[in-house]
Amino acid sequence: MKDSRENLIYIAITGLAFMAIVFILLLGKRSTQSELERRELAEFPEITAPSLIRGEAGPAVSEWYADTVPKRDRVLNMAMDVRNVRGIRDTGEETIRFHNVKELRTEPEETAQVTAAPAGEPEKQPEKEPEKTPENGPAANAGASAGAENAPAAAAAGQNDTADAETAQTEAPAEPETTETASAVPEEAYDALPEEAFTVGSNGIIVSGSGSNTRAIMMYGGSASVAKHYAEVVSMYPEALPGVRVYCMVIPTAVSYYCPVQALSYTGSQLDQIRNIMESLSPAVTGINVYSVLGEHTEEPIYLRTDHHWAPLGAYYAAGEFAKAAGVPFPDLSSYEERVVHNYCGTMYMYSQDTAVRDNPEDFVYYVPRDLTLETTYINYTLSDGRVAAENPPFSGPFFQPMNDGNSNAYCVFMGGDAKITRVQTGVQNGRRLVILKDSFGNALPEFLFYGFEEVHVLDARYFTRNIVQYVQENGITDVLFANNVFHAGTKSTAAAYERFLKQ
Amino acid sequence: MIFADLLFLYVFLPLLLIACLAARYIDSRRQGMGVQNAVLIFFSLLFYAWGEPVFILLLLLSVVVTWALAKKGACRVGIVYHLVMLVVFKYGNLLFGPLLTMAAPGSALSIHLPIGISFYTFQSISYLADVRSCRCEAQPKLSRLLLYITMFPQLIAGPIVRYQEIEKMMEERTVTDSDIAEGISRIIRGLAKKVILADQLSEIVTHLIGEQLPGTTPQAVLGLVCFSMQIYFDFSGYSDMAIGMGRCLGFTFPENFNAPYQCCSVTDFWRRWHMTLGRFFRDYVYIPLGGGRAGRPAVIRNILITWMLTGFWHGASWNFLLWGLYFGILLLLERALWKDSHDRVPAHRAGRVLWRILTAVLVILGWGIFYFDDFGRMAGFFVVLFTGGIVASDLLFVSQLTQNAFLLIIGLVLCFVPTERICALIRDKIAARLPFWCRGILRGAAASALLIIATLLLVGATNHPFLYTRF
Repeated sequence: MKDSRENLIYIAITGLAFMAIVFILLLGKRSTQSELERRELAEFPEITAPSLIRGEAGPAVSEWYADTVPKRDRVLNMAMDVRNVRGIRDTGEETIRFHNVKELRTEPEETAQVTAAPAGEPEKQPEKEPEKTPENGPAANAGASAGAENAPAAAAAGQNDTADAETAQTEAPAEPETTETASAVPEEAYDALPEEAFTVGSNGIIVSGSGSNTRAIMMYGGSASVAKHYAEVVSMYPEALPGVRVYCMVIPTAVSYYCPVQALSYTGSQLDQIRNIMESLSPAVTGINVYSVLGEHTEEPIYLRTDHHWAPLGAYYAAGEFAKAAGVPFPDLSSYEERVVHNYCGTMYMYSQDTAVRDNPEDFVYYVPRDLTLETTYINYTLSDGRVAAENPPFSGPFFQPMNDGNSNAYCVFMGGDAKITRVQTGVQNGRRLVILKDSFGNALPEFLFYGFEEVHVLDARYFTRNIVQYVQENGITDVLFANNVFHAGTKSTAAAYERFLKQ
Repeated sequence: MIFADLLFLYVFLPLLLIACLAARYIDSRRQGMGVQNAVLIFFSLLFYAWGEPVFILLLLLSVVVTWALAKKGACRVGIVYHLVMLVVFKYGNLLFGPLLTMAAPGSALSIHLPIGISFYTFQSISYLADVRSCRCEAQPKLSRLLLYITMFPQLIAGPIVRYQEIEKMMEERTVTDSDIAEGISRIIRGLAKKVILADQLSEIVTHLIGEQLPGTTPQAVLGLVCFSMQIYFDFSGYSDMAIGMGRCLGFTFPENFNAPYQCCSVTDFWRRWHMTLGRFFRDYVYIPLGGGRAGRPAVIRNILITWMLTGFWHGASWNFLLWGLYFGILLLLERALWKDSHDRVPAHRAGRVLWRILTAVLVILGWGIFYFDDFGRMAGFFVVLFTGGIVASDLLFVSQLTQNAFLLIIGLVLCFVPTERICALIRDKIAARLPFWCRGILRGAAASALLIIATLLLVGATNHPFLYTRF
């Protein structure tokens, strides 16, 4: 640095770059929500004397400043591009990239105890904010931007948009509360192991393939013992709802069908989990086996490549199995108008932060009944910190919420999300009325069941605050379908919620 | 506040820059450094109070006690005061927690560790010890001592600056173009080390050895090598930023790292790693104990005490003590094997090469002790490391290796290849032939690119505090 003129040029250039960033950050319009992360960004903290003394105010301001940078989503995308040059990304069709995937292990038996809350006791909520893991991170804080785009129903009725901001979230399969893990053995060997040995924890994401075959898959985690408890709770319903037919559909996720052989040892067996649940159901509950029928159609796009959900086509085949068991009409796809949201990239981009997922979007195809006039009534929830704070008055709106091409919340095309009670009057007159108790996987089912029931009610396991027995009686419900993905079925809070519905 | 934070970089620093320029202008009209020093003290206290508003009182008390006792000549009392503070606030939970639990079952001791206490108490101790041994005179002005101890670039994670090193600069300092250019260069280099290298490596570390123990030997090796690089880039990045900011403000702080992984022996490693801490323990513990000139048993005792304290300084956990002991034993071994060599290396060339490789392995193994504060997990890790074996289709290992291949190569090159020498060679042989404006533009563009990349990575990243701010 001997040449002063060289130094001056160096200082000028770096100073310019520095000041440019300073001005962009200071003068640019601060972001308030992130569509990529599906969350509202930090708000400027309330500065009070106690928060100052406790040392919370300063870090909170720093967090707000970092969280709300102008054009945050664009900057995040650029950051992902930078991160993705760390190594070799694409090795062709054989590509498998791990994102937070861990070895599966056998843990001592005592760690595999059921940790479900005792019957009737409210489940303790974790005090800490959920960490931003691929499993619960972006989704845990989801909602804001999606809500802004997906609130036509609420807007039409002049509703407070709080609920829809939350309802538009498309939650990831929940992480089980237990920390159980499984031995790294081939799936076939699980049958020979004691029950606790094959319980697994949620285990990260793999991204496989290349180009239009790129697929992000959440490796399976779930607790066998908690799932058994789920089956026991579902089995309470026939007794609590005499005269009502009760069905249980446990929905496998993409890992069951699309996990590369080399990576099989890093995922737990969903088949074993589903079998475990089905075998634990009371004879009064009709188990709906969708594992097999989905397995027959794996060449078709039955699961989304860029999202953790199944595709509506997968829901169609599953709904067919249910309709068969329920004995209701189930017309083929020609009775539906096919609609497409092009260039769809779902949740797995942010969960995996793998740009190959972003760079290979897919078509989100859904199906609208051609000759039915649906009357949909919503009761939205107002949420506070992810919990139901209030129930809003009913209002009417469309069941299908149109989405533009490229909208990353296309899965919210059904009802606009989860945090609500939905009642659809189909115009069919057959005396059959269905309640679907579900997580977000269940959102794709109703569209295929409108021909079979005169009313379809959709209740989400995470938000329903009423007594289910009373609800069923008041609405003359004849059929109750539990539709949960296998992650949720192995999650303590799901069983606890269904148990609470009977008593609250 | 931490350095790798958008608010610090793009709000705090510009405000400081403006304030410093204004102060410099005022000082130039009235002679002296009073306003500049006052500005620096104000920003330093703001920097500290941002996250530790209550414990700033402890910091201020520490300064006042140090200043008053040094003036009174009661330096020993001052040293004892600082040691007591350090023991209470840093080691209180570890040392007294079990006693409290025994006395009152069910209760637990929870003493908050004030950020930077390990560093500012050591600076205070070094000042008191130097006054006591007449290496420097007691500072009559409280504000000067306040500036020395609280100066924000080195307040929370060093380098541990000695009073004499910046005494004159507090009274009179100039900032040249060269200082600013060098300072900016160090700041950006440090930020890049932290954000582009250390934070990215930390993801691999967490994944391979942090969340659960590795399953195979390659996973354990990769995790440990990545942690070795992470801690180096993290800490040396902080030191670079501190030195760079100091330089821009007119202070020349001592270097803290000198390519430590290119050492030829363990002795040499500790001459290159966290040099200001090593210097502190050498001058204020090892030599006062008798150093290496005493009889063999005394030397053994001195080395073991010094290195156990060095280890324990890093954290209130017994694994740090073990880590220090580990290095103490290695140093004794080198001393016994090659007592005539200054660097404690074999006389033969082949032996030196072998010992250099072995040293790297031993240092990296040492990070395994450093990383795990749970002895059960530590034992489990070393069992896997040595007996975990190699699995043909270790997809987890292969995946981490390929997905981070370029990051790992860059990290390894910067750690183990003498890049400084290569850069100097390039500068002399190639850059020197370019016109000055071309060199300026190239350097400026490269530094700006690093700054922009680091900033991008900071957006939305989980807050990764510098590792050494915990100590």
